[in-house]
Amino acid sequence: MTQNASFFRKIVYGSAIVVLLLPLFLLGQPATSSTADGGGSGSAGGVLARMRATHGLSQAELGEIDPASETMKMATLGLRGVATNLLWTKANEYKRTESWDRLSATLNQIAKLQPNYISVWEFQAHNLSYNISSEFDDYRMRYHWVKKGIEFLIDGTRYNLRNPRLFWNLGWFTGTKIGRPDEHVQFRRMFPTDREFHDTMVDFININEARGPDGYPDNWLVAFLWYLQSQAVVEKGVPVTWMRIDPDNPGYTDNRRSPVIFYSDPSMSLIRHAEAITNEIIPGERTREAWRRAGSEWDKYGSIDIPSTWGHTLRLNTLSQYHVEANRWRERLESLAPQLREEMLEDRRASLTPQEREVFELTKHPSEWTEEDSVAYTRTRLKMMISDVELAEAMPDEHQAQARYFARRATEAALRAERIASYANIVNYQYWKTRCEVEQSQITADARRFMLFGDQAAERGDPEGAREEYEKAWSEWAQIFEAHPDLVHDAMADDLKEAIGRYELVLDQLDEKFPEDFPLKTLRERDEIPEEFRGALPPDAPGGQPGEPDDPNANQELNAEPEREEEANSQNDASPSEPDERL
Amino acid sequence: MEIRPEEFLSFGEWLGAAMRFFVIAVPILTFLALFGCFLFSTFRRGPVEAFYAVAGAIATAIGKDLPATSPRRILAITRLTIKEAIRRRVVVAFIIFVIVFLFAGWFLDVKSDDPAQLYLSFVLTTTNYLAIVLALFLAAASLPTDIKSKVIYTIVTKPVRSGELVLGRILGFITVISVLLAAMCAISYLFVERGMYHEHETRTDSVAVIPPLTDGGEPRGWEGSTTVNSYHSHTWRVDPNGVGLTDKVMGHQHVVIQRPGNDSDQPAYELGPPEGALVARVPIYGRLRFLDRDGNPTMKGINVGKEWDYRSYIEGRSLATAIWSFDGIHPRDFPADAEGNAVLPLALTLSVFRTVKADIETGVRGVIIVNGTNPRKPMQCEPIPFVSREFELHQMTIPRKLRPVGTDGSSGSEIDLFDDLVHEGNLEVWIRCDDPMQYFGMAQADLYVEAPNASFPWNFAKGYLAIWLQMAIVVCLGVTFSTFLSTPVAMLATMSAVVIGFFGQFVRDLWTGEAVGGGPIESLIRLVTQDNMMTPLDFGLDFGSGDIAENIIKMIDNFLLTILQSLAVVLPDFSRLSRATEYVAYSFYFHNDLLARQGLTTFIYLAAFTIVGYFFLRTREIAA
Repeated sequence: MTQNASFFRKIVYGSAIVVLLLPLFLLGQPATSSTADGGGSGSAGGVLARMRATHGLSQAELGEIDPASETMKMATLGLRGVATNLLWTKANEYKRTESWDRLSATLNQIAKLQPNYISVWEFQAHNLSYNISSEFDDYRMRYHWVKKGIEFLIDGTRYNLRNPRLFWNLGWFTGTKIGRPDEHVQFRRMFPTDREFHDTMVDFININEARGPDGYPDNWLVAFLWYLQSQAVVEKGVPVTWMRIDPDNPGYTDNRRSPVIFYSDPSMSLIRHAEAITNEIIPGERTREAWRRAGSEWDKYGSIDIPSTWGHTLRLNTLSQYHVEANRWRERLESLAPQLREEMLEDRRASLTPQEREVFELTKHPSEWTEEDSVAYTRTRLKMMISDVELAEAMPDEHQAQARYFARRATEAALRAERIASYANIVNYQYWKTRCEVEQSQITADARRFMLFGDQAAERGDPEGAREEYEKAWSEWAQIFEAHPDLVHDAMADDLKEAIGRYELVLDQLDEKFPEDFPLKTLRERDEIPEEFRGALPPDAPGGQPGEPDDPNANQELNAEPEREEEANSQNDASPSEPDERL
Repeated sequence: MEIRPEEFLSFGEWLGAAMRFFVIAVPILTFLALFGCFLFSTFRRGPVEAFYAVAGAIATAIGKDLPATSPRRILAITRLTIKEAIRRRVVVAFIIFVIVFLFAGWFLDVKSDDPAQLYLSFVLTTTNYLAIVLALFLAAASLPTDIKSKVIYTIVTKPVRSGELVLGRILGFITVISVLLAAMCAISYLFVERGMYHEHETRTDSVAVIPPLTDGGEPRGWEGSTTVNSYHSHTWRVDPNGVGLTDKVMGHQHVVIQRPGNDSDQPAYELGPPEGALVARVPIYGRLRFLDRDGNPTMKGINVGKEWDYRSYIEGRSLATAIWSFDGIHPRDFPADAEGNAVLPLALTLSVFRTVKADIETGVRGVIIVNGTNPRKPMQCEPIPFVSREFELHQMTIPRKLRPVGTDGSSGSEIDLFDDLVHEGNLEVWIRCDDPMQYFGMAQADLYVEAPNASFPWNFAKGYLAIWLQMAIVVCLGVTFSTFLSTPVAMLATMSAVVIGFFGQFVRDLWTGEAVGGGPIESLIRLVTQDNMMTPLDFGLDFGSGDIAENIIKMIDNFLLTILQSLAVVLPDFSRLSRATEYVAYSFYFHNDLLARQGLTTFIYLAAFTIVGYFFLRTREIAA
C-alpha cells in the first residue's frame, strides 16, 4: 500500500513537472541558426526568442557581446537588479566621499551588469564629464574626467550599436563639454594633440575627417562626425522609438529628442567650429572656408523633411514660399473688397478705450509704460488683428463662397508658415543662415582681422595703431550691417560691442572723445530701450525690430540662441537626473 | 582616504578608553547572561533548583573543567577537525579563489587612474569575503553534523571536556583556514605584482634636447615620451648624466637611463619597471586646530556647503589658518638633503573651493609656516609658498635652514628647523590660503610628516593578518552557534552576526536617525509604495496627535532597531576590522597600534565566544 502510494506520488510529481515544462518550453525555447525574421534552416524559437528577434533585442543585435558582462549577469543569478542597485548606492557614496577612482570602477561594473540600459550610460557619463570633472581644481584633471565620461559613452556604444542616443550624446559631450565650458580655451588646446583619446574613437569615426585648419582633430568636427553616426543609426530604423514625433504615440514621453534639434546638431557643430577658429586664428581664407562648409551644411539641414508633432513633415527652407503663398491668397481675398479691412480696422479703433489708444498709437514711450499699459497693449493688439476668416465673413454675399475659399487657402498657407517658423525659431534658423553667409564673405573676414589687429596693438601699448585698425574695422562692419540690418540685433553684434568698449578705452588713452559720426552708431544705441518693448516700437524707431509688427515670433527668434547657450552652460552644475531633458 | 577620528589614537590611548568600556560592559553582560540562564532554568526546574544548577555549572567550569583542560586533548580534537575539514573538500574554496583571480582582469577597470589601489582593494576584499564565507560554512556545520551522525558520542564518551571540544574545533578550523589564507596571500601578492608590471619603450620620434636656459649654455638634458602600454604613456626627462624619471601616471613612474645606441651616435633610452605604485607610506599625523578669519581659535573651519563634512575650509587672504601640532619629531628619523642636513618631508592632500573662477591655468596659492613651540623663544619661519594640487598627493620637503619671521614681523638671519623650531619633539605647521575669495579644505589626515616608507610586502601581509582576525572571529561565532543550533540555523545566525557587524555603522545611523528612510517596517512600506525617503508617511489617520498608523509603525521600528542596535554594540564590528584593506589599498602603512588593537579585540571575542560555546555545549550534553 505504502509502495503504491509512493509510486503514485512519483507519477503525479513527474506529470506535474512535464506539464510545467511545456509552457516553459513554448516561452523560452531558444532560436537555432535562425535569422532575425525566423527564416533560415533553424527554428525561430519560443515566444520570447521570437519577440526578441521582432524587436531587435537579442544581445547580438544590440551590440557586441562582452564575456565579462555576460559572466557578471549570470553570476548574479537573476539578482542583477538588486546588484545594480547596491552598486548604484555605493557609487553615490563614493561620489559623496570624493573617492573618484572607486566611483569610476563601480560605474564600469554597473554598466557591465546593465549594458543595454541606455539611461545608465547617459546618466553616469554625465556624472563623470560634468559633475565630477567640475570637482577638480586643475583644468587638466577636469579635462581628464571629461574624457572619462566620453570614453564611458564610447564603451556604451559598443554594447548598443543600434541605438542613436549614445552616439548623439558623444556628439554633445565632445562638442559642448570640450568646446564651451569656462576652460574651453585650455580644453581646445589639449584636445588636438591627445592622440590616445583620438585612438579610442577610431572604431566608429574617421578622425582624419575631423582635422581643423591646423591639421589636428578639432572637437567640434569630431562632434559633427558623432552626430552623423547618430543620424545614420536613425536612418537605418531605430528599434525603439526615440524621437518626439507623435504625442498620440503610446511610447511618447517628454524626455525624447526634438527632431528639429536632432537634425540641426551636425551643422551647428560646424558653425561652432567656425566660430571657435574665428576667435582663435587670424580671420582669413581658412575661417571663410570653415563658414562656407558650415553654411552649406546648414542649407542641407534646411531641406531635410523634419517630422513634426502635427503629423506631417516640414522643411525649414520653405518658410518664405508659404509666406508668399499666404500673401497671394490674401491679396486675392482683399481684392474682392479692397476697402473692407480698413473699414473694419477703423470701426475697431473707434471702440478702443483712451488707455488702449494711448499705448497702441505709442503716444507714450514704452519705457514709461506701467504694468497695466503693457497688458492693455497686448489686449489692443489682439483686438486690432483681423483674421482672413473674419474678413471673408464680412464680405458681401455675392463674394462669400469665393472669399471663404481664398481665406481658407491663405489661412492654411499661413498656418504652415507659422508652424515652420515656430520650428525654425527653435534653432534660430534664419539667423544662422544669414550669419554663415555673412561670415564667409571677404569683407567680414577683413573686418574681424582689423579688429584683431586693433586688439593686438592695444595690448602692446600702441593706442594710435589700435585706433587706426579699429576704425578700419568699424568701416567694414558698417557696410556689413547696412547689407544685413537684422544682424544688428543678434548675438554677433554682442561680440562687437565688447570690441567697441575696447576702442573707447583706446580713445581714453589718447584723450579723445568718442566720434560723433561713429559708423556703428545704431549698434551703440540699440540697448537704450529695454528689450521686452523693442518689438512694440515702429521699425524706424531706435532699437525697434525689423519685420512684421504682428509677427508673434519676432521676439522669440532673437531669444532662441541665448536659450541654447544657457542650456549648454547650465549643464556644468546640473544634476544628471534627466539627461534627456536638455533639449 | 578618510581616516576615522579614533584611528589617530595610539594603542595606549585606545586601551584606556576600551578598558573603561570593558570594565562596565563585562559585569553587566555576565550578569545578564547568568540571569537569563537562571530564568530559563527556573522555567524548567523551579527557582531553587535553577539557582543550584547555574551555580553548579559555574563552579564546575571554574573548579573542575578549567584546571583540568588538557592541551593534548585540545590538539587531538584540532587534528580531528583538520582531517574532517579536508574530508569536506575545503580545498574547493581555494579553487574558487584561483578561478576568480584567473578571470579578475575582465572585471577590473584597466583604465583606472590608480590601478594599484583597485587591484589591492580587489584582492583583499575578495579574500576577505571568501575567508568569512568559508569560516562560516565550516564552523557552523561542524558540531550539528557530529551530533546528527552521532560521531559526537564517540568523542564525549572519551574523557574530553566541553571546553576542550569547543576550543579544539575552533583551533582546528582556524588552522585549516590559516593555511589557505597563507596560500591566498602568496598568490594574490603575485597577482598584484604581475598586474602592475608593464614595460614601455621610448618613442624615438619624440626625443628632443632640452635647450639651455641661457644662450651658449649646455643643454639641460633630453626629454621625450613613451609608447602607450597598459592604457597609458609617460613623458620623461633625463639630466645631462643620462639619468631621469618619467612623469607620474596611474600612480607610478619609471626610471629612465640613457645608453649608447646600437647604431651610430643616437643614444637609446631604457625604461625601468613601474615604481611607486606598491608602497607603504608611513604618515606621522598631527592634531589639527583652526584659527578663524580674524585669527581667533575655533573648533572647525568653514563649511562651504558640501554634503560630506569630513573637511572644513579656511578662507584665502585672511588670518584663517589650519594648524597641525606634531609630536616626536627628531632629525634622525628623516632623510638628509644633498648637504647632509635632515629635511622634513611633508605630504598634503588639500581640497580647493573657488568662489571665483580667477586664473584657471594655475592652482590656488597657499603658504606653509613652520611655527616653533618653545614658549620662551617664539619663532616662526617665513611663509613657504606652494600651489595647490587637489586630489593628489602633494609631497614637499621643508629645508633645515629657514628664514625666520620675528613676532614683530621682521625677518632675521637663518634659523635651524630642528634646533630652533622643534621643541622637545613638538612642532607646528600652519597652512594659509593666499588667494582672496578662494578656500582650502582640510581634515586632520590631510597633512602629515612622511616617515621613510615601510616594506610593502609586510604591509600586504598585515592586510591578510587583519583578514585572519576576522576569519577567527567568524569561526568562533560559527562554532558557538553550532553548540546549540542546527546547521542551517547556526549558519543563518552567524551570517546575521557578520552582516550586522559589517553594517554596524548603518544600524547606528538608523538608530540615531542620521540615515533616513526609517526602520524595517517603514522602509518596507516605502519600498512597496515607491515612496520617497524624506516624505512623511501619511495614511490619512491623523486625529490630532499625528497619524496613528505612522505612530504604530514607528513604535514597532523603534523596538526592532533597539534590538539591532544592541546587537551591533555587542557583536564584532567587521567594518572596523576590515580597515586594513583600505590602508593597504591606499598605500598607507597599517600601523602596529591599529593591528594590536584589532588583535586584542579579536582575542577578547575569541575568549568570550569560547566560554559561551562551552556553556551551551554542556547544556547540550546534558540534554543528549
